[in-house]
Amino acid sequence: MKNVIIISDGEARVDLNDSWQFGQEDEQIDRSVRVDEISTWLEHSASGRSQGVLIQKEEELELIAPHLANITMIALTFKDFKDGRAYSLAYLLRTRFHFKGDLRAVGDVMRDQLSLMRQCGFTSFAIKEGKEPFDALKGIKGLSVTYSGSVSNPAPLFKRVRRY
Amino acid sequence: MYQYDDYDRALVAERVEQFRDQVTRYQNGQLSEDEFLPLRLQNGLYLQKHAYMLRVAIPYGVLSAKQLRALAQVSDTFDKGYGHFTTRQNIQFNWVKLPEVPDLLAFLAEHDMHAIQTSGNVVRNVTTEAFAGVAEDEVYDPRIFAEIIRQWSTINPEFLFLPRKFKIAVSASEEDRAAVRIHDVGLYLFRDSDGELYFKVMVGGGLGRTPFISQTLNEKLPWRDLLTYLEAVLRVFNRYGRRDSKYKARIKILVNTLGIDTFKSEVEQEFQQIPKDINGLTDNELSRIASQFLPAVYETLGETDLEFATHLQNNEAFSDWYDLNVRSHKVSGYRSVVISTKFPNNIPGDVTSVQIRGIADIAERFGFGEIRVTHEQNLVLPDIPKSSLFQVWGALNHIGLGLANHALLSDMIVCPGASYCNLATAHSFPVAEQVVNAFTLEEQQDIGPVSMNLSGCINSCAHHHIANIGMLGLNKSKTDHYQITLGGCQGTDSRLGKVLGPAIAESDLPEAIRTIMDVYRKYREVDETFIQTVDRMGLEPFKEALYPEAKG
Ligand code: HEM
Ligand code: SF4
Repeated sequence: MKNVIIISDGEARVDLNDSWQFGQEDEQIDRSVRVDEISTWLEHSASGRSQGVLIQKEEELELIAPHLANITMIALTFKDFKDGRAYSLAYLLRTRFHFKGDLRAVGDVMRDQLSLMRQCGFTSFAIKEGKEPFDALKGIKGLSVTYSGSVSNPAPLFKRVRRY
Repeated sequence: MYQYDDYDRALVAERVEQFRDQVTRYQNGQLSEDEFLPLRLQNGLYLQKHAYMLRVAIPYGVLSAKQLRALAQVSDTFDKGYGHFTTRQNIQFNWVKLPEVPDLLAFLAEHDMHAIQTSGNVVRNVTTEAFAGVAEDEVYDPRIFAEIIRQWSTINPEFLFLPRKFKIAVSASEEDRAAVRIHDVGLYLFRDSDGELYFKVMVGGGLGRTPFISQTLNEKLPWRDLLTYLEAVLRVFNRYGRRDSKYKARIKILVNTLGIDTFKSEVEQEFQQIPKDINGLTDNELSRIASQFLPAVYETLGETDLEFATHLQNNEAFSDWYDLNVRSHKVSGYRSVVISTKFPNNIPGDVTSVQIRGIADIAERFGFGEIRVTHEQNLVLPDIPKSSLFQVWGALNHIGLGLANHALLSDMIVCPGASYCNLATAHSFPVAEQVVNAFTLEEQQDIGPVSMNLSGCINSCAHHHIANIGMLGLNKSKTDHYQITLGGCQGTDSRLGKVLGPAIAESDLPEAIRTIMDVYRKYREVDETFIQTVDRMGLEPFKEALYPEAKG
């Protein structure tokens, strides 16, 4: 994928050599770097399944949930950045289903939402085509004070620090 | 009132700089209109008919005198010398310029104020009643929980792109004075027989195109679980709320499509799976927030005051104002004062910077420097010694705010309508003024308490559905017409008004309201208020009087 930002060891950086590729019908892509739609993924036999899975809809969460141990990367789609469902799906994948692999935001992914995505458990971001990934990198940090807890920082502020 | 600590201050200050950068990038063309829109809405900035409008948050309607003066300065520096208080206890500035907004917000931040999440599809300003902390009938101060919810919902990363806006109201008193039941989530705080605090949780209220009064979601939620429970409700809404139509996206539609029982079990399932300890509220946190409110230090004052009694006896205008605009207080010798912002003195909710400064002075001189905003668009001085009331009344009159009309016909809730709002289908202010002017103050006093709300379009910003008399502006064949609803009311037993008949032309509206009032005066029994008569008689006599031609 192009224009990728990854977080590793707590550091965010632009990765221009990201090797993940979406599965194509006419192309042979090695399953270790292939990302298939969940329906395609389920059709394959266990040995042919790609290591990455694309989730585009709310309902697909149920389908993927039993297989998380066999997946290294989940790409969650933001069809429109104003549609916030993927934030809750990310929360569920991380906190409820304990997914430990890379959780990637794909689709309408831009600078001003990256810190929110990061807090909800995303660990990599395929920045929308046409947007500068190095500029987007500035959006990872967000504000230094957060009141509520989140995936990346589960305790709410009042349990994280001493406020008086 | 709640005192910011360093964390609160840092968050607000950083948010201003973040937005400043976003404005710059928008102006440079790095952010498109569509990309900028939700960012500015989440910072309270609307684009209106003539200019940008900034909605500044007044958390649960509480302001200090210092903050009030800062708002006066904002209206002088960045607006045209006035501000508009809203039904959601906020204040709107109608004439701001985009390049100046970051500086405006930075100025607010210096006074511990912000515009975060006053619009957009997010959890909005949490509201409560204006008499919180001083009302005699409350079980606990609702502002403390409102503040806890405010903090939890502010920039909560999972819930900033909800299907639609989300409004939460809290009430902790016997009488619901916060219109709790027209909110997406309404919270009634109560004590059980052991004195423990619980919430009764209501869900799915909201007006607009398809008005709903909320239904019971949870009869008895322990206060410690409040945030966890809200998280469950919001997650269910975020996942399953409709996103294909703006008009079907509020949680009320989801609740009514699924049915309350199915919705409830979805929430319950989600709630059971969230570890309770993470967001569980603690005694420590509750008392920490409570202590940040710096409780008022009351003097021991008697109720007996001969001078006061003399004024009451000799000055009819003062005694009218006392009867109508002064409320009892939990502490002996103190009262709460309602400052009317209504016709004929003011445009409902509009207050000039001179008046704002005057109110701040009065609050400091006679009260503890605190001011509240009511959801009826009035202001309240919560703690005034009874012995200062005469002076307060004089000082208010001096700035044109001594109107004695609280809860009377002229105490209307009115949205800006076609004066500022580009969604409006009709005018609001000028018509409301004509209606009010058709009645003398003596007539209004004879009629007694009645709520009349007027919205300039179906979005219902003035809550016309829950008014005793609701008026909704529609545009019909070039002239503004108003649909009248009757019998709505707020409170724990909120009801939606029913449409009386065909919409009435603007010029006939004052006469129509007079007709309705005449019916009431003809049929009322001793001590019966307007709404009680409507409840007893039904709509028929009103319909017959208003639409005689439709008879038979
Ligand atoms: C002038 C600019 C304004 C615009 C463009 C605007 C727009 C809207 C819209 C579109 C809605 C409907 C949302 C929905 O049902 O999903 C709404 C609701 C509401 N507005 Fe406004 N509004 C404005 C000013 C105000 C003012 C001045 C007040 C207070 C006096 C106000 C109070 C409310 C309230 C309380 C609701 C919720 C009604 C409900 O329960 O459904 N708004 N507004
Ligand atoms: S009710 Fe309609 S006209 Fe009035 S402020 Fe709301 S959107 Fe505008």
